Amino acid sequence: MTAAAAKPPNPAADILRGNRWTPVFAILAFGLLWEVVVRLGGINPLLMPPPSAVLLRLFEMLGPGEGATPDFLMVRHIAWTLFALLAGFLAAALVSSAIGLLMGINRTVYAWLNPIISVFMVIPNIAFVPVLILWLGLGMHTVIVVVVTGSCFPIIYTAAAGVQNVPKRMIWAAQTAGATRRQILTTVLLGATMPYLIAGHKLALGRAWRAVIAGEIFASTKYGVGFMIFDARTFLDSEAMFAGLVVVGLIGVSLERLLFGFIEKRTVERWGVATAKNL
Amino acid sequence: MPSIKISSKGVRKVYNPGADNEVLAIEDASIDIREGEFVALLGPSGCGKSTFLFMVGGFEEPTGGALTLNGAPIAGPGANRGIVFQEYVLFPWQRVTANIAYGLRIAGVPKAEQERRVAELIAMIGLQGFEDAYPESLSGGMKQRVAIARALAYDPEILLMDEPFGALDAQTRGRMIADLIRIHQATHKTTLFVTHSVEEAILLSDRVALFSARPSRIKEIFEIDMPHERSVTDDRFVAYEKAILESLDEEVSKTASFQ
Repeated sequence: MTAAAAKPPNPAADILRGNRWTPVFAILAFGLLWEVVVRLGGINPLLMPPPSAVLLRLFEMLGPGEGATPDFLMVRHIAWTLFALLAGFLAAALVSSAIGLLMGINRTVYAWLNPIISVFMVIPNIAFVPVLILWLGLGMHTVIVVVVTGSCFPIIYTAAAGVQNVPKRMIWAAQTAGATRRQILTTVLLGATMPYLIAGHKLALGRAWRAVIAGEIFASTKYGVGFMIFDARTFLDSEAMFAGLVVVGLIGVSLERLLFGFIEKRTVERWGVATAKNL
Repeated sequence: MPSIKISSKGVRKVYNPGADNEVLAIEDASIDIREGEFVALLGPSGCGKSTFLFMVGGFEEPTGGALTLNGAPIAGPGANRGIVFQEYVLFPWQRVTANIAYGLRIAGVPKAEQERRVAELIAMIGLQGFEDAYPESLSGGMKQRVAIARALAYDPEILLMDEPFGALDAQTRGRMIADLIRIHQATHKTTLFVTHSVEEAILLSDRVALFSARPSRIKEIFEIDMPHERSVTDDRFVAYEKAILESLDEEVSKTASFQ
């Protein structure tokens, strides 16, 4: 403490070494490099617009529209995407948790479902999209199903693994206290599986975000950030395409941080269970 | 003379009977445990003392012999027993109070009664001020106190303890032993206490059941006729320790010669 106090504070060195502000500077440095390379490298801005132009375009699209651009166009796209994401993710969460818990509790269910799910899981989610479009046509409902297929497997597997990893003695402790099978399920298995469920949902939300953007590219007809990126290509509007990518990246990162940071602080961090943080 | 609580006559335990990896864990465990008695199950590692405890707990079934509780064969686990494990096995997602109240909660005991009982137990184990803590933030000794309180909360007839102080440091263990003696004197629970520490066994027990090496029997039962508080420097303590250690050494050397 005294040795550290003696040294003059040097925030620049701390940031360089890596502290809580480093991410901000890392992103800024990346943007600056991009800007410089495009401007000094003589790169065609139609193929690779500088970040300053991309950000300007992004703010333009977030605000009231001019000419052919409708008001708050990007906000509409984002709202559409978030709605499809949440609808698909919630459906996947409910169904997959139930399937996964059942697989963890019942060995026969696990033995029969595991091989089937293993095969489905290695198929890239995007490969389902053409079939889903064939069945369901274009539109938000199809995108929602793409989100479900994209996010269900991590939840199923972590829920099953969670139940299977409940310490035998934890169940013994409950049985000795007089717990019935049903009470063990509701009072022990669910609690002990919670860190796994949280880890699985965290993983699944990341997958769902990728799935909603990919799904929109193929299956959406009017709105959605993914659709917007694909649609802008038709008009050679590369600034809008890059603005879309920026939005996808920023929302993707904050979804995980905000939602699961909050949940983890109140659960696994208090309980001292590391599972969910390690995944 | 208090009545016989647990009776074990010629109890055998064979794992994987008939298979290639058949193991005769216990050949003959015979002992009658009286109501209110504190019995230590002592023996070399792998001698089946924990297996015996788990059979009394109803988690394992004897392969032969008769194991009865209150005169009836043990048919499975139940709330007339409470169990404490070496690794605490608390519910990490519940606060201290909720952990202790577990047995009362699932039995549907009214809230007010639960709270009264939990407060009583918190005082007994000396964890005032930690009611709302999660197990994660407690030391090993504190966790084990919570586990003991959880096992006592629903007032079982028998307390089963599987090397409960095995993971604790020497100082904490000393305090826990003193507290367990006090708790036993206050509650008079019939207690089975698995340990590999001769000192622990003599300090705590009314009787010490010494298990032989595998295939194990209850080889010898030592009646510890000393008042509490017992001191390790007491002549009688030293004499008991010597007698038990001699008998135990025979078994340890047997296990060693097997390997």
